[in-house]
Amino acid sequence: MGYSAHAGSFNLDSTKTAGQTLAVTGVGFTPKVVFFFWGGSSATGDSVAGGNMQPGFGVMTGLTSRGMAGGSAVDAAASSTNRYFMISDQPIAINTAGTTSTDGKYDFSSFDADGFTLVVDDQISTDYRISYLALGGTDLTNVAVNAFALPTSTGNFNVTGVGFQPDAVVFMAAGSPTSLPGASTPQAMGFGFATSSSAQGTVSAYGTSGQATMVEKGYGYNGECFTIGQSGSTRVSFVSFGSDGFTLNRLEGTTANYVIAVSLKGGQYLVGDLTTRTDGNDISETVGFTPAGLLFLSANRALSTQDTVTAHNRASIGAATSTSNRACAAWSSEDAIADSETAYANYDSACYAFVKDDAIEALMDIKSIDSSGFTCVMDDTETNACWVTYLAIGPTTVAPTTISLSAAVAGTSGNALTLVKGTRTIALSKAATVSMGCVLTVIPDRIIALSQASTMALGGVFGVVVGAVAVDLSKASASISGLSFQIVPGTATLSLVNAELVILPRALVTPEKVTVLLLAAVLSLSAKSTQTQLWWFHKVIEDVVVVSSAYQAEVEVYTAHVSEVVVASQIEGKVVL
Amino acid sequence: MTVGHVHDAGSILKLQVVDQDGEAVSLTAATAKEFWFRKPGNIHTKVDALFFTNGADGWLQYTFTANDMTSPGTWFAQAVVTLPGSLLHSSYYQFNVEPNLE
Repeated sequence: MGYSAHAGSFNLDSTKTAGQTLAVTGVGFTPKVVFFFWGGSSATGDSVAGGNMQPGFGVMTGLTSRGMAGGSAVDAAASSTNRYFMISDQPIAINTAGTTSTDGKYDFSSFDADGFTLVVDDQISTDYRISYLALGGTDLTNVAVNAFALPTSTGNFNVTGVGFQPDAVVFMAAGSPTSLPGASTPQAMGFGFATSSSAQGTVSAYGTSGQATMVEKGYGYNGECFTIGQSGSTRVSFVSFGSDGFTLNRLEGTTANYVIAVSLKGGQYLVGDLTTRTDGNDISETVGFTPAGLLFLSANRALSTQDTVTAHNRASIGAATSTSNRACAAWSSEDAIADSETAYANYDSACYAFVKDDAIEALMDIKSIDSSGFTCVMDDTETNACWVTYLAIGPTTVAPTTISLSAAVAGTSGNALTLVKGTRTIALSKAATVSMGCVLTVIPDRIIALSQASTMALGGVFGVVVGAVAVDLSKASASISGLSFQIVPGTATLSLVNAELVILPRALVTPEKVTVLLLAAVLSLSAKSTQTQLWWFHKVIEDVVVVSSAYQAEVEVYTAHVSEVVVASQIEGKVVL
Repeated sequence: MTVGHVHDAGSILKLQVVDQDGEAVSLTAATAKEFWFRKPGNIHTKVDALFFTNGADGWLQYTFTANDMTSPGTWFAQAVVTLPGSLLHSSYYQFNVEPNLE
């Protein structure tokens, strides 16, 4: 199954009372971990609004491993009223604006075949919009949520008890609680992630409470993995992974803040960063693998100078797993004004949002997930480009991407070459002979190039299973009877310009169309009646294409060099014993 | 009535063997299965048939070669199946083979 990821959004249900459940479906697999993020919106789709902001970031991997970090700020207050809220008993809790209590809590109930189920611990008053990134699949072998207190002095320290050596770690915290749950002033939130000491990023935002002139700041930096508090009062960088956790370096601060760490193992991960754009040009990122999922963090400003916060309490948390599955939450609290000015947003159609003056300042969307990275584009361009850090998440792949058998003279009987994952090119460009009994099986996203192979011998089987396939035999001088190409199924282009005989199994031509280019070939379209039996028919006349009447509508044949197309008949009836 | 054409290669004869009630007869245990033909002129020939799927549905098939349907007219086909302890012959199935326009 590889690595599965799905980004989406749903609304909490204010009609549900404690003990009732809320099932979220459409994920497409059984998650192993789900990240949640929200800004405080109660709309059911894209929305931005001024008002009390109630953002949060949560996670759950099971009944005993979950937590969240969030907070709130009251809008239009003469004296700023900001709070943080952090717990380790639920993945979702909405902080009631300006208080240390919650408007409601949802906890883990179960991971399901097509999603997950939450249970109401405290009834919510409003149908808040919640976005999520669900991760699963066989490649994701271990996940763990650990809450730990930072040491009270600077320097390296170990976080253990994870239970495995992670490949990536995600951090979240709010305020400075010395135990959990914790809720008080100010509204300080910090997030980050790391995959190595040279691949880490953090975003933090805070607002001080009780101020006549707002003190609202933010910070985003790529050399640290976790920060929180005024003037960067807590800054932590990532050092290394260990067999039971990881080592961090506290760069600044002496408060024993609690931090929630989400450790992931299995698959591929890379923390990188990008800069949003003031135009509509592509933002192309290379991560070295095809991402299954992406997690984005931004403080909606240019890359900060290390240990230097700047004006405005703003942030965006987003995720994407495809061009149609993405979401983000964002918030804003203006700095240095007399009365508080707060706003929030949740977008299902973007992976990054910049909220300013109760409106959207900028939006970034996923344009494509690419073989070695991804491409974003601004749906709403920036006035000034902002720094965004991301965690790219992808499946385990096996190297190399190219296997060259260029020196092979003959693939002898019984040889088998099987590639099962990733983008592959199989080159047999100088192979003189692919001999009887050779089996070549490629799954998926592959190109098989046999362009200079002189002979495809009797009994050779090329099995290509699933996905877009190009089989290029354009210069093969002879494809001898008995050679079988099995392509099941996929949108395939089969170029057999000089091939003499090709047998396409029934599964190939349903439901996808197949374009067959012929010069002087006889094309036989066969039907696979059972798993073990291929029956086929052809008319051995030069430049004649014989297509079963049953398949004729499914096959598009370009007959520029074909003199005749004949439809074979089928005589069918019943006899009595 | 279904038809074939003289020298058709690739055309298929597909017959389902059923019992007196019209129910499919399972042929999975068959050790041999043939189609016997009677061509115009009372010429007889036979070919090995194949299961269409696995025999459980009673369907047998044969793909004609260019040398099979050599003469136009009315043809009869009969399924002959060897099962453990019995050799069974089906009723006839009639079809036409038409000449080609050349």
